[in-house]
Amino acid sequence: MSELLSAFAYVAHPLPFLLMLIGTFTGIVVGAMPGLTGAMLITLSLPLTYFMDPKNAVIMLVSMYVGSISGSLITATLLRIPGTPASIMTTFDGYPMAQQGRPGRALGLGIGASFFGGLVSWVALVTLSKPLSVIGARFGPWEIFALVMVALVLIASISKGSMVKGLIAGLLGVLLSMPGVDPAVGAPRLTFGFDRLNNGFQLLPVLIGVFAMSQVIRDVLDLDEKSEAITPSRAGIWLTLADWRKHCWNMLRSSIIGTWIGILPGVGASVGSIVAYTSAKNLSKTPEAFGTGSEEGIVASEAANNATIGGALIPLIALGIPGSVVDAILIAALLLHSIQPGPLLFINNSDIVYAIIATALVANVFMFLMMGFSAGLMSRLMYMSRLFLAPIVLVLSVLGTFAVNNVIFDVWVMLAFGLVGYLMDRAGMPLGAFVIGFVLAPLGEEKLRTGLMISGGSFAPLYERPMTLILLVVASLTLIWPLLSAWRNRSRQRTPR
Amino acid sequence: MPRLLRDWPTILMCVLIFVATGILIHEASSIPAGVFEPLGSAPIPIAVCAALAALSLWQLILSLIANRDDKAPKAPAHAPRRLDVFILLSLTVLYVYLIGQRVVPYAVLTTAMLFLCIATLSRFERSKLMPGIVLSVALGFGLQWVFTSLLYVDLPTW
Repeated sequence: MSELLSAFAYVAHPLPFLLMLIGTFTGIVVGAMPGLTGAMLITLSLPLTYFMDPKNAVIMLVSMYVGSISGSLITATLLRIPGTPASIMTTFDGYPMAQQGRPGRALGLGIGASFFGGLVSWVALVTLSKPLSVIGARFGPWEIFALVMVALVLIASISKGSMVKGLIAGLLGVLLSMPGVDPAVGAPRLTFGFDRLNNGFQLLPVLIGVFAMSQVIRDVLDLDEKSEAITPSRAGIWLTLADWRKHCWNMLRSSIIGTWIGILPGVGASVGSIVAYTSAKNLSKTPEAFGTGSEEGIVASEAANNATIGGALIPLIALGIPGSVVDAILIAALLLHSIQPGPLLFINNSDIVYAIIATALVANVFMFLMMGFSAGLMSRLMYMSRLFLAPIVLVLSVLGTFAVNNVIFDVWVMLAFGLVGYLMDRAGMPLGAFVIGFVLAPLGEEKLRTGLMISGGSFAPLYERPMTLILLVVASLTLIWPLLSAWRNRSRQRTPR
Repeated sequence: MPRLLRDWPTILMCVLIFVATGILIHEASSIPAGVFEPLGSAPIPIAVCAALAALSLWQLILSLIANRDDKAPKAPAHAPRRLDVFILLSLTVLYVYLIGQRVVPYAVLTTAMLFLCIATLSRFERSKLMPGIVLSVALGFGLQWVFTSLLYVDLPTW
């Protein structure tokens, strides 16, 4: 408790406070701009944080995370374009409500629900992280390997569209993390004798390439895309006590769903909002209103997507497993500062952990106030032309990649991964699965090989250790279940009525 | 475009992955077996490559079968700007090459790069050129100042 209070005291200092304000504001702005995502903003900010104190770095990045998920509701409501995938469900009801002449009300419901979702998931973050890390600290190499397997399989299986494409993306990330000197034996592998590859593909060029460069290519291709915009108004932007009372159960239920889905490795905000939206519709007295400007729909989607933030931070802090793509980038930020994420983070770097927890709450409050007071201004920013944005992002991507090691090879790697990212995206292969595979594979391989050294080359601990067995069964079921349901659906369709 | 190649990004990715995994398996098979630890460096990359090759082949077949359907793809509401992407990427390659050569100061190079990109994307529309120049100069010199004077990054300067 005292450590948490110290963290709150720390974030009240001028510099962290300012970084949090900047982080939340830029997060909201980027979230509100179609084509820019929180993952992209955080990736592009990583090189800057390299020059900061690690605690300040995570404070700024977590604030950006909170801001970007919330900011996307502005474009979802006023343009019918979700600023980030997390707000897809908000478009279904936010935009129709705005069309009916109540854009302020739609934004107000979204902002209020986002704030509530953030609070609920913060409570879960505070209460669950430490106990989970205590359990995690008892994990041996086999358990951690099995946990990584669960994360990888889960990401692939929930990938929108095709599970095969999800698996390909995840495995491609795994494969591309392998070139370089093998730390276990000290000899190069998959480098083709190319010395520059001895250090492997660095995390930052890969992340910037996949998220920022590929987005620039997409944005330029679609530069002539038109959208149906609605003029924002502030009427009804602050919820009344009656509104809070009316929607509190929906908010609570959606927040709990969002938090739970956030905890699952690699699942993320968009799935959280879809599940919460579907539950709200199923439990609603007026399900037919969903999709036509339903208040419940907006509340469910926004409470859940913001709740995934705190939920996703739980496995990151407790186990070093990313709960979402942005969390994978946060892991990269910690690694950049030579901080090893994982169960020992609570012991070795408790100041960082509590800084993350304190920021998650304070940034949520900042988000609520900033969005409430400046939604009109923010919505004007979303009209900033992609014509100017794309070249700026491009130049920042090059500079950001170069700045960390002053090596031009990293920039070429970034450009190459930009093309790979664009092609993957066009092919419907999820970039999130790719990045999480890239981040988690070295950990998984290291633990497998350590485990094998301990067991003298035997794979028996995989099924002899109860926790490992449970995790692997979960991974297998996760992999098989979507295939089984697809097969069942197909056979049902074939059966004549 | 032939009907079978309608989903060309997936087909291209699957073919590229299939070829790349073949090359990587060949490269990995030349890695000596482990001496001090049981697994060695090669088996995991080989296993991952094999799984990827199988999955990409499976996806390739799925895509080709799906493309046989008569459904024509929905035409986009706007023409994608392929030529602009090509110009932008070519400019970027030149920009990165020149940064690496350290012959032109970063601020000048970035100003020119930004302006050329904005001019290309706006199709040299006059109303966009002036803000483009202002933005390019401000960002070019601003970024150089921030990264060299505050963050001590070794950028090419005069």
